[in-house]
Amino acid sequence: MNRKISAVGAALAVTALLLCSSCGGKKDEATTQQAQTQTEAAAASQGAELYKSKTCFTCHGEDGNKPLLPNYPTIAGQNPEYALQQMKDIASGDRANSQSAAMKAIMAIVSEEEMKILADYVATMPAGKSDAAPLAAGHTGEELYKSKTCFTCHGEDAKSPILPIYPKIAGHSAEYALQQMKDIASGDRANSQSVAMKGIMHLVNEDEMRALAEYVATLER
Amino acid sequence: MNKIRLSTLLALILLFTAATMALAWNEGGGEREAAMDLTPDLENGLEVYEVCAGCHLPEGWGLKDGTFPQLAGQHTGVLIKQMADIRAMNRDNPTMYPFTLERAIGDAQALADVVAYIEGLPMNPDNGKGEWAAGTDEFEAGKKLYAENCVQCHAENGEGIAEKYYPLIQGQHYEYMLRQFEWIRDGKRRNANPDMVEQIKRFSDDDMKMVINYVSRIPIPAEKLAKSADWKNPDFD
Repeated sequence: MNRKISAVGAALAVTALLLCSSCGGKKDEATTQQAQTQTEAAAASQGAELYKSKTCFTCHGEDGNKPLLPNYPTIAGQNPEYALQQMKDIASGDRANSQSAAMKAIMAIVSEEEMKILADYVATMPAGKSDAAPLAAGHTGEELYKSKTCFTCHGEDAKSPILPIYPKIAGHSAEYALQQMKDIASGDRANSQSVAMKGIMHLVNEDEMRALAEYVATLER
Repeated sequence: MNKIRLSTLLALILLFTAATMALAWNEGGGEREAAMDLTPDLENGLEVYEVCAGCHLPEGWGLKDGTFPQLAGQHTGVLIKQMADIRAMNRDNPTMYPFTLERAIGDAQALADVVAYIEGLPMNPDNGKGEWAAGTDEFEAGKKLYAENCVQCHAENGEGIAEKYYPLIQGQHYEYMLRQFEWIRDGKRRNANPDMVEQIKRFSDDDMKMVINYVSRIPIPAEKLAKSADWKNPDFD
C-alpha cells in the first residue's frame, strides 16, 4: 500500500518535472540540478521504505546504529560499494560466516536493484556515536592497529579505507569486529576482498584481535 | 619430406607459443615504459613511499617471516613490472592490489619517483634465512642446484639482471622466496617468466627448500647493507 503511494508520488514528481522543464524561462543547468535532487530524494525515500519493508531495521536498528545483538554490525554510513557487495555475497552464500546466516533467509525477498537502493541509503544514514567506553591512551589496540598494518587498508581513522569496497570499521562493536577477524583468519569468512586480509591475519593472535576489536569499537564513526 | 614439414610446423607453433607467453610475462608499453624513462624525484619518492612503509616498513625491509618481502635495493624495473602486473591482475596479490592503483600511487612520474627511492634504500643485514648453515649437506646441495639452474638469470650472487626485469634475490626473506618459488613452479603465480617455470618444474619440495636456503644465505656486499640490523630510516624521523 505504502509502496503504491510512493510510486504514484514518484510518477507525479517526474511528470511535474517534465512539465516544468518544458515551460521556458529556466536555465537548463538549474533544471538538471533540480532533477538530480529530486531523483536523489526519490531514491532516499525509496531506500527508507525498503529499509523498513525488507525488515533491515529489526536487526540493524532503525537508524542503522543500534543493532539487535552486539555481534551484528552497525551499518549507518558504511561505504555503499561494501554494503552492496556484502548483501550480494550473503544472498548468494559466498559470505556465510557467523551470524550472516540470519540474514541469508531474508535476502530472498530483496532484488539486486533493491540492494543497490538500500546500499546507497545505508551510506547516507548518519553514523552515530559509539557506545563503547574510551580506552586509556597508549592502549595496545592502538599500537597494534599500526603495527599489524590494519591502517594501511582501513585508514588511520578506521573510516577512510583505501578502496570503496573495503569497510569502514570505526565504531563497530568489539564483538562483531572480533568475530570477523577470527572468521577471516580461519577462512570461515572468505567472500569478496576479505582474502586481502587473510594474508596477514597469521600475524595477529587472538589476544591481539581482542585488543584491536576493543580499540576499533571506541573510535568515532 | 612430410617429416620435415611436420617438424617445421611444430617448431613454428612452439616459437609462436613461446613468443605469446613471453609477451604475457613481460608486456611492456603504457605507463610502465613511461615510468622507466622519467627522471625520478627522490623527495617525492619518499612522500609516495610513506604508504608502502605501512607494510614494507620505513626501511623497506619487509618482515623476516616473509609476510612482506624486502624491497630495499630492488631494481626499479622489477618494482615497476610487479606493480603493473598486480594492477593488471596478472599477478594475484589481493593485499597489495589497492596500493597499485593510481589513486594510491599516483601517475607514472610518482611511480618512477617511488621505485627510485626504494632502490636506494640500504638492505637488511639480517634477512630471514633457511635452516641449513653453510657446510651442511643441504646447503651444499642447494648451492649446486643454484649453479645448475638459477645463475644464468639471477647471476652469480643473486643480483638479477636489471635490464631484463630479473629480480635481485640476494638478501630476500627465505619464507617469501619459498612461497613465490612454489607458486611459480605450480603455476599459481601467473606473471612468472615461462623460462623459469620450465627450468624448475622438476624441482621437488626438498630441492626447492635447499636452493632457497642457499639463496637466503648468499653474502651481500657490505656497501649495499645498512650499518646494523637496528638501523632506522632517518627520512621517517
